[in-house]
Formats: sequence, structure tokens, C-alpha cells
Amino acid sequence: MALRIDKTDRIKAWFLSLPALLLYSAVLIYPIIQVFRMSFYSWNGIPASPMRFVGLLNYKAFLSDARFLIALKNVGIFILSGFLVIFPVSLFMATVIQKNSPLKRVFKTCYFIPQVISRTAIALMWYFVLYPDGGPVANLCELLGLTNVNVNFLGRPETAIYAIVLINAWTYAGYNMLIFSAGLTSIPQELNEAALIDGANGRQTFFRITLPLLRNSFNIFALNCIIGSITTFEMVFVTTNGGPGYASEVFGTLLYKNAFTYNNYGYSNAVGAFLIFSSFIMSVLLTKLFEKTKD
Amino acid sequence: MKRNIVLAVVCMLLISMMPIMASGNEENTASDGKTVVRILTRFSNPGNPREKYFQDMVAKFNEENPDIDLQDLSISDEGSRDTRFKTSIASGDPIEVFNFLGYAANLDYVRDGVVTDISGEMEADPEWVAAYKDNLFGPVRYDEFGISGIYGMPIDPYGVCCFYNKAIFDELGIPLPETWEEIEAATPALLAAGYTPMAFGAMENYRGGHFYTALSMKAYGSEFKDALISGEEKWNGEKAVNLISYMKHLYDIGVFGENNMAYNADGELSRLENKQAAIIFTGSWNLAAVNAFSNADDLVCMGFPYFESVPEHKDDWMGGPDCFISISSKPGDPDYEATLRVLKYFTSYEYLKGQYEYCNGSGTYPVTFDETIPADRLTNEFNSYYSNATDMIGEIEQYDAMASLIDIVRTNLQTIFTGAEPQAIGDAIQLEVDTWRSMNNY
Repeated sequence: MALRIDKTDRIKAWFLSLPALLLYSAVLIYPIIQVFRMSFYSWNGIPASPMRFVGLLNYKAFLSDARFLIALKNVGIFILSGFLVIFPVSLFMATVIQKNSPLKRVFKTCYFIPQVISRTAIALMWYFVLYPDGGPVANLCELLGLTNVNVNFLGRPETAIYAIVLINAWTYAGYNMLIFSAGLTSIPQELNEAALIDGANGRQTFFRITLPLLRNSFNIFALNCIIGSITTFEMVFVTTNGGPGYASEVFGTLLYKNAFTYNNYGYSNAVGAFLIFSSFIMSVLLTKLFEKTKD
Repeated sequence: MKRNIVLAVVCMLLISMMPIMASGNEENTASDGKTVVRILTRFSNPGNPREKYFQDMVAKFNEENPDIDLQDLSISDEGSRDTRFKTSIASGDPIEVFNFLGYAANLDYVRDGVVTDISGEMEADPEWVAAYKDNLFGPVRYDEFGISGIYGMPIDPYGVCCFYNKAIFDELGIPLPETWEEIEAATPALLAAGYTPMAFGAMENYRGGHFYTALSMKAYGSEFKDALISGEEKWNGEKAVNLISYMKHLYDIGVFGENNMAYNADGELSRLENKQAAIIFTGSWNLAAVNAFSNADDLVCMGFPYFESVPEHKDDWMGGPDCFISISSKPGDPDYEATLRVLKYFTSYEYLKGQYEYCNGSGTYPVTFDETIPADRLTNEFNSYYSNATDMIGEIEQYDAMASLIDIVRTNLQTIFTGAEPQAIGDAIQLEVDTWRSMNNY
């Protein structure tokens, strides 16, 4: 039987949704429209200064900027590290906390701690941990006799982005552990037991039963990882500010610097528009892909 | 259905714009009726005598002026300070009193009315400015751009200088090197003894920018700066790249030591105090801090090294007026009178004299004091060089109307310490300059 909604109900529904709609449009829709609008102007951030319409010039400058390619490469490294480092580590951690161990709660808490600390505090903490002049990692290397190792991981262009990526992995592994843990809990125990009766070993059970049934958790992880990598900012900003030189630049730092260091708000909004657009496209594509693989 | 969706979107947009449309300029009045005035400087480190003095004076001002709530938003990190300042401007609520660097790089703030012309107030109150040295107002005058007036009060004229740890040189039997040729000659012995010849904290990119300008003055004089700004010289031209090459040469032969990307200007100071560095390149703003070092007796203040082969530029300096205090409130604004009172308080002869006494005569000041305090040895040494300066400029990029140039040059120069090639550095800077000029029809 089809549900009939009369006019009064419809008005009520609109009325009840209004506070949420208001809030949503004020904090999200309006700023997004402004970002796109301002990306077509040249403006120095001073209200009295006229905004000059420049069409697609900001996008042209951004896409032809050498730093765009550096940021793109670094975002690629972030995404790759997500799948190669965060995914296996968090899945492993999730399996550990699934075991009936007396230390289960301790593990769970320890793994999740980075998630409750502010990102800025984490970045600062690691900045000092990796400080090459007397920092704990430098001291450890010295203790182990690794005197030939250049311990300035954040200060060298060839290692800076990888150091940040590892800090990022440390930060997000606990959160993703929870996602996979929820997925593992939802797998019926009977399936594993049936597989064991059929003679499957642990490896076979994991790859043939557990992993395929974790698809939904993996989808959430993949979406978070890719969108998070595209929009990453605070970890890079605090540890290297995109340096040394431009070596660890990401889109977030390009956006920030163009607005607050270069007074180039139009360009900065073009970067912002690119971020919004690419995040949206990636979410749509991934959702479609996940739906397809479901079938 | 479609009509409903369109209606919903239109409603959302209109309603979300309402608070923005309704917002307007409000008077800065605290709930207790006091006029709120915010002040933003880079004086936030109580470990530095002159910054501690500033903080004490903010507290004193609030005590003496019960009708004003002076809120100190100062933050020592340059980038954070800039972000705070620019955000306040972009949001339409500019901080009332702030430190301002002047020069062409900040022309937009003057042209677009953020910074207030205070020449009328200076004329109306001649006593306020009587002790100021006239030649310090150049960077806050914009007559060459068709803008009349004065847009700030100088508080901190400076000169770059070097501090040498004489004890190290005495220990090794090396006379204090005054030229780059002598520093290069002394480097092997200093390195062999385990000392960094000249600590260079490249982690903060401004260090490279300062060094480049100071070096350019010793190599070419201020004509080079003029040629770069006019476009006659290019950042990737022979002269400009030669300077970068020389910086890289100094780095390659070990003059700057190792791990430069691992420490900043404070790291340079600590290396000097800990007897790890034989020389540091800094400025007169650190005279009071260095004076307080445990090994101050071992230290000597000298000018930035020059080239034996270019003696004609021996006394050309990077320095001059740099830090100004400016205001954004305009005559007629409800908080103008309070803002002006704050400006006058922190740029008054009494304030500066108090700072002079608090720092025991250390440092450089924009006013001439009627009574001088016998200054410390380091300040006297600095002044003996400073007074011989024949030409002086601020950082080259400050003279360019391209506001982003300063960070672009500094960031690219920083890559010397990460292995970049001098020509590539020059090319990268010039590309940015060309792009900006073409976009701005310059």
C-alpha cells in the first residue's frame, strides 16, 4: 500500500527540516558558492580593494604552476601510503582486538589514543620526536651506531613527505582499526566455523571469507583515505609548512599560502574550488565503483 | 517535485545570506563600556628584554587607562602574525594597532585604506614626534605612488651584523675574520676543531632572504636592488645567480656547517651561546638578547663580512627602519581617539626611553635621547660599524609591489640547503615574477 502524504504533512516536513536546512546552507552551501565565485576574480583580501574579474586565469595559473605537480605527486604518495601502510596495519590491529585476550581493552585504547589528540598536537609532538638535533629518534640512531644516517627526516626534500606520511599513518591507523573491527564483528562466526570443518586453514579463511566480507568497511576506508589525502593540510603545515623549499607542498598548503602569505585570494579560491570539485568527483566515482563491484 | 526542490534551494540561499547581509560595522565596545583596542606586534616572547618590556607596558597602559581595554594579540612567529592580521582585514574588522613593515610590498594596504595616514596627527602634536630621526620615515611614505601622508611610526631601526665568539678564534690562533676571503680561509681550521664557522638556521626561510640582501650590498651596492626592482636585472641574470652561487659555495665548503634545515634563528643564538658556532649572522634586534648570554664576555659584534676584492662596498649595509606601528581606525570612528592614544603611548619618547633603560642602553632606537646610558660593549661595537654605513637598504623584495615576492625569494633561497642549483633557483624566482607581472599588467 502506497503511503499518501497530504499537503499539510508536506508543509510540516518542510517546516521541521528548516533548521537543519538553514544551518547546512549557511555553513556549507553559501561558502562553497563563494569559493567558486571568487575563483574567477583577482583580489588581494582587502575589502576596499576592487575584485577584478579574470575569468579562468587563476585556474590556468594554478594548473600550470610547478607546485601543482608537486602537490599532486604528494597527494598520490598520501593515497598510496593509505593503502600500503594504513590499510594493512589497521586491519592487523582490528584482528588483534577481536581476539579474546585479557589485554584487548588495553590494545584498543592504545591504538585509538592518536584519534582523540588534536592533529596539531600530534604534528608538533612528531616534529620534536624527529628533531634532528637531540630529538629521540636522532638519539636512538646515535645509540645504535647509525652515525651515517642523516636523521633530519623532515628537513630533507627527499624524505620530508615520507616522514609526514608515516606520522599520518600513525594518526589514522586507530580510527580505521575501529572501522575494520566493526566489519569483523559483523561477519557471522558460523562461516568461519564451517570453513574450519571443511578443512580451510587460517590463511584461506582470512583471504576467502574475512577479506571479501570486509568489503563495506574497505569501501569506507578507501573513501576516507582518498578524500582525506586530497584535502590534507594541518600535518604538513605544522611539520614542514610545505618545505623544505616546496618539497612537501600539498593542495591545502598551497591554498593557505596563496591567501595568507601572498594575498592572492583569487588563486587561493581556485585551489579551494579544485579541492571541492576533485573530492566530489572522487566520492561519486568511488561510490559508483563500489556499487558496481557489489553486483 | 522539481518546483519544490528549486524552491528549497532558493530559500536556503536567501536565508543563509541573511546574517551576512545584516552584518555591519559595530563599535568595539566591551560589555563593561570600555573601548576595545587590539594591538598586534611580534613582541610575545618574555625571554627577550624588549618584548618583556612591551608586555609590561601593555599591562601598565590598561591600568592607567580604565576607559580602554587594550588587548594584546602579539605573536612572535612572522607567519602567524601575518595570518592574524590578514584575516582581520579580509573579514572587515582590521586590528586597530599593528606593526607594519612599509615599503612597496605593502602598498596595497595603504592604497586601499587599511593603514591610516597619521601625518595630520603628527603636525597637530609636534611634541610627540620631536625626538624622532627624520630619515626613518621613508618606507612609510608613498609619494612616488601618488599617495601623500605618513603611515606609521618607526620603532625599531636595525642593521644586520655578526656576533663572533672571540674565545674560539683566540683558542685557534686565528685573527677575527672581517672579509669573506678570510672566513673561507679560517673555515678548515674551525671545522677541524669541531666548530660551525657561521651558524645558519635555514629552517626559517627569512634567513636566506636577509643573507642574500646583505651579501648583495657587499658585492654590488644598492644599485643592484634598484636594477632588480625595475626589471633591468633579472633574478636569473648573471649577477643575481652569482650571489646564489656564492651562498651555495659557502654551504658546500662547510662555512654554514651541517643540518641547517634542522634549526632556526633561535638555534643560531643557542649555538653561539653554547660555543658550537664561531660566528652568527643576525641583526641589532638581538643585541639585548646576546648581551644576556652567559658567555657575552667572549663575544664580539662586527659588521656583515665584505669582499676584499670589492672594498668600495665595504660599508654598504642591509638595515634601516623596518618595523613601524600603524593604525587602521579612521578619524570619526568611535574608537579613533582610543586607538590614537594607544599609538602615541607605544611610540612616545617616554616609552622608548623606558625601553632604552630597561635594556641598559642596548639596541637601536628611532629617537635621540637627551641623556645617554653608557651602553654595553656589544652595542658600542655595533654602533661603531653602524655609524660608518654609507648606504643602507631593507630586504630587496620589500621594494617590489609584488607582495608575494618576499616569500617566493626566501623559499627558493632555502633550497640552497637542499641541493638545488643556483641557476634553477634564479629561474624559479624569475618565472614567478614574470607571471605576476603579466597577470597584473605591470
